[in-house]
Amino acid sequence: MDSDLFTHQPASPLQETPDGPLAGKEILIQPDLSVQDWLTDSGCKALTGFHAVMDATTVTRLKAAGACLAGNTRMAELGLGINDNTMARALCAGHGHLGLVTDLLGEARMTACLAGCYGFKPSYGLVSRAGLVGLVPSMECTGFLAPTPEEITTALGVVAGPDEADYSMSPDPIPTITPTEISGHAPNRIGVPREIRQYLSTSAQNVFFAALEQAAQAGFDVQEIDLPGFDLFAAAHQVIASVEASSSCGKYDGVRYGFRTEDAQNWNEMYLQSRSQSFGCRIKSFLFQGAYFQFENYAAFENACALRQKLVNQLNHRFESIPLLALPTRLPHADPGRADTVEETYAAFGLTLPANLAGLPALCIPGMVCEGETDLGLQLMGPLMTDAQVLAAGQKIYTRIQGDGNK
Amino acid sequence: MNPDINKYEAVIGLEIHVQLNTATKLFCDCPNQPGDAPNRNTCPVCLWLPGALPRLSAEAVEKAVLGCLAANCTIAEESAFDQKVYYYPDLPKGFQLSQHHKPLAVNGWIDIIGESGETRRLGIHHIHMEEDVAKLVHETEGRTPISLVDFNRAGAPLIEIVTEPDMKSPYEAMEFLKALRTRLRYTGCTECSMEQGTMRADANISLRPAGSDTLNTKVEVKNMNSIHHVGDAIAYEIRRQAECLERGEPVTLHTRLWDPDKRVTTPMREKFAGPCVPDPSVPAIRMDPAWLEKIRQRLPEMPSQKTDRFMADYGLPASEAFAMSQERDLAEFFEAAVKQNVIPRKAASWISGHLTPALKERGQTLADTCLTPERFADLLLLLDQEKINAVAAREVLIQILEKKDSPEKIVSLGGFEQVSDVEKLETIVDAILTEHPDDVADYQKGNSKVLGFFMGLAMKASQGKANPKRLKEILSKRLNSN
Repeated sequence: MDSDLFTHQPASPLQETPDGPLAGKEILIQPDLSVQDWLTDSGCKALTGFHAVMDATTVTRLKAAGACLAGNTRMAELGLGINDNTMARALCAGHGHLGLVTDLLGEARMTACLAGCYGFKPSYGLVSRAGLVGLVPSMECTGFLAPTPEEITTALGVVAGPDEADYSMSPDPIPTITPTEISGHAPNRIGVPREIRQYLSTSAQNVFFAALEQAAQAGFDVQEIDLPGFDLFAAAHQVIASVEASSSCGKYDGVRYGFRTEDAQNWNEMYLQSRSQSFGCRIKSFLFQGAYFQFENYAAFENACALRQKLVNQLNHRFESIPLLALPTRLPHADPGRADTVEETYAAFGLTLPANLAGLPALCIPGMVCEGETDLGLQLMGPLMTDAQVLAAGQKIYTRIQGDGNK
Repeated sequence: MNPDINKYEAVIGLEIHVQLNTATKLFCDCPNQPGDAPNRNTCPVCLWLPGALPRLSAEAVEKAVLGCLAANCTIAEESAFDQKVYYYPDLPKGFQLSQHHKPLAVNGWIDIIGESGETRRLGIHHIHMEEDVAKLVHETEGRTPISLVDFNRAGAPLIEIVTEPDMKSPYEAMEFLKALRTRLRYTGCTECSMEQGTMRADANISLRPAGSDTLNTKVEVKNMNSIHHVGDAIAYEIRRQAECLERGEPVTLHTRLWDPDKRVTTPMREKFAGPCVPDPSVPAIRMDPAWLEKIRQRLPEMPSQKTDRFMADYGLPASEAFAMSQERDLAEFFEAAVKQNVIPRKAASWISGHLTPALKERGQTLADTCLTPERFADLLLLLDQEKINAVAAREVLIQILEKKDSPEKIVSLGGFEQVSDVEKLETIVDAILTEHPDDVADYQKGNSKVLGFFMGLAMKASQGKANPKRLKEILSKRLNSN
């Protein structure tokens, strides 16, 4: 096993008689998605030695579709941000055809951006969270990375849909998602929030709008729109996500599994010391922020929830006239791979996190918005549960780019 | 010091946890049997292993709604679970799923008969659902103290009934608990036993000058494991607070534990109480009116209605009608027996006088025995027809609790037939009178109590089978003619 890239690699990953839409596809995952008997430590000391007791629903469905799991790549502690995340490198080195990265701030899209592949965060509630260790239950979702939108569509079609282990999902059946089924469903209009300009240098604006020009040539009607309060997404996300993280990390107490301190004299000390030694700096400070809003400033948390609702309503209102929004994926000056503090992380993911706060499907297209060496990514975002349309739009652009390349 | 308690008026509210008797736990399919071997009834969900998600049990919601309806509550159109955050090893998630912001039901009430015989309607603020926590066992003896956690109880479904501060005395609090317990048991959704821990009551108590309507700082008292303890603890706490006030000490907000041995309350270390944030994983419960109506149809006639009906339909006096309606199984048994043409008052008196004590002594409920209303009616018919006397009937009653034979068969097999034959009875009486000439003389001097003494001896000599009416006639005749 290449332990630089992997935390787990099965000896013989291939299924004996692969059959199904993902037959023979090798899939890389992260150790926050449960695979029975695999180390599932979510990159966190709190989960030292924890091996999942059953497969996540997503894993079960991937296997049933003929896919094989090629291994667990390294991930940032509890999936917050992409520091130490080796998924992009493993994909680039050809260790797998597809990658799954939990997206709570934009991690899947950002990793795709670094790997030069397509990255997709599905609608909240489309993909089961059962078996996902997770950190921020109301915002996170398994994201997909692949060289083409078509492969993402196939994989999403396999894992999407109701799961009786996840009651937060709608029990209603969903329309079939396959590349053939969705082709031709691409919306024809793209809106670009005017507010985005203030985040971009002139040169970054130039490459971004040049990419939109290409989209226009692919047949999209591109227009600038207003999205007031765009800068508030990050604040609402941070307050709510930190509170949810603080709650969801309450289970890491060293009582039932995971890391437990050796030197405590009684259970109370054991409890306190285990928890204080279980987390790294960034997660600790994130949990402290959450605890602050929970215990000391609950009103701010309530405000953030109200703000979230308002921002979602506003977005939905925009979507009544514009079926797709376009944004860059990342900002030129903030390197998401080197964001060490909570503040730096939120700054680096400022353009991806709105989709998490609102639960929307968002696709990152590589290679179109390059400022020098840095691919800023073109991000398309659609209304809730329009995953097929967003992917169809990505497919349309992909075809156009390939066509250009082939000329 | 003996404080003048009458200067003050007690303001009492209760918080009552009731365990629902669902087949599974609240958020997973584990059996809801906390008493099994430790950690036998656990799964990734109730152990809250990473990746687990809660799945709300439909049966628990149904039973909780039934309980709320029995407490006259209005069911909320939408209720939702919150995370009550505190860190403790008995709480696998680091929070307890409970309904804080949007409880299942609000605005209920229970009627009780107050101390001066008036009806008192005591308000219920709300009822919410929540999950129980694990059981901790701290073993402090031995070289290294260890703490053990049993997760069987973790995730068991509870409802918490939070009353208005409407009660004024320990009596009212106890009557409230009894009436609530009776009504909840009627729904069949809970066993409601304080002794067995399926019902737990905490009391909030404060005092104010008699006649005032201010609400003063309250003290919470926990750890009472019977309704009597609740009454005792409240009475103690009222005295204690009155003494404080008399001394000019302010009452501070805190929690106390009832010590049943010393019969006092003592302050306890505060458990750190955290905030409640909405849970993102358990969907809100939206009440479908048609579904709610279906549940409402399942609500049985409540004990207070039964009491009224038993008085009206069967002419039972209030106390008997009340006694006949306190347990649903006995109430239904009573009515079934009456349908077999047993005189209602006779059925009631045999049920409360003989059947209930027999069951209590044997630690059984009706369902544990093979007694049917039909056979109970047959037994009372034999008594009516003077085929057996009351002494024998009591014995036969015990036997038909465990034997499926008809009362007639038991009577004939056991030789319980009443002896009404005059000659046989005369022989017994004559022998006794001959053996006790002094007592006969005593009677003839006017001590009529001796008659009872002779009755006892004669009954015994007949092995309890003598027809008491005949026996008394013969005895009186012989004594008066001598």
